[in-house]
Amino acid sequence: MTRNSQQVLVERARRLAMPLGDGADARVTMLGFTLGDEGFVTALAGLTEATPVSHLAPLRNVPALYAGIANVRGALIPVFDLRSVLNIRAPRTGTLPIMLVIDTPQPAGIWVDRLDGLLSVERATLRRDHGPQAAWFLGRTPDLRTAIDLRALLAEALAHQTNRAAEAPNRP
Amino acid sequence: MGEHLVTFVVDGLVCSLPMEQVEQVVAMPAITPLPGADPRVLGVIDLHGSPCLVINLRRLLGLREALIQPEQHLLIVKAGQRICAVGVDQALDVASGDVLTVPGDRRGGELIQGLSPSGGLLNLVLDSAHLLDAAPLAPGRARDLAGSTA
Repeated sequence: MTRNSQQVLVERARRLAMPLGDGADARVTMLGFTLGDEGFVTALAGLTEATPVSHLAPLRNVPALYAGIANVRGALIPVFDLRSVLNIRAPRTGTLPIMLVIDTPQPAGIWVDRLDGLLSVERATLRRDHGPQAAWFLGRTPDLRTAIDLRALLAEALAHQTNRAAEAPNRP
Repeated sequence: MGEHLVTFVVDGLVCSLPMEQVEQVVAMPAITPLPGADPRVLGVIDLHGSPCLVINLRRLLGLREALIQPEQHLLIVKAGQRICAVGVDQALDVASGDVLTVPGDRRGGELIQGLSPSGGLLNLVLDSAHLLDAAPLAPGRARDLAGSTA
């Protein structure tokens, strides 16, 4: 058997091994970005734009989750820094931050340090072992990028922040 | 109106399986050999996350052994309560025809449940329920069965 024939057989075996129902959407295009020293990918659905932030108005006396307020074509939107939620210790990098605008009930910006372009990710290769048991964690790609659902992550971070704020007056 | 049969060719011999026993027909994939397994087992494939035995039909029918090729097909079939796979040279058609019982008892040939002239070809009708436990036919026996009634 030729090497080419063997490759055809192996490729078919790989497809046959995929879970049913994932054939049509086996590969998905995701946006790659870097936050601190970690790489991430997120689905394009729900993202409205990725834009450099020329000016970010910082907020005083707020948790680290809130990076500030940005003006996007006349609309003021909150910008969130998920570094603390994701346990990223590396400081912010880059002089010109980039913001991903996600379509939550209200538009929200997510601070990222660098955009890494569109990446084609095979769903079947995402591994969920050794990761947080959370709805926003979709798995890790073979090149060790973390696939996340930005909307779910932001919702969880905000809920956590709200709970902490509610508990604060009860602390001795 | 007879039984619906999925017809296929193995080493030039036309055979068939009742359609209700055939789950899928797919292009031949790579098969992982199982060292030390019964010679009737060609290997195993990953079928949507579940291991699936691939039966060596050539061995069961006493035909010549051959390497698998990309042009071949794999039938995913129900073998009793289990799902297994059978490699064939080419899947042909779904045909309708009466099944004639093989003369005599089925000793040593439980795999073959009869013959059918479906699709204009006389073919050996196999019983997938015995793919995993049938004794291999002696070389030439399957061709004799197909030829004796032709």
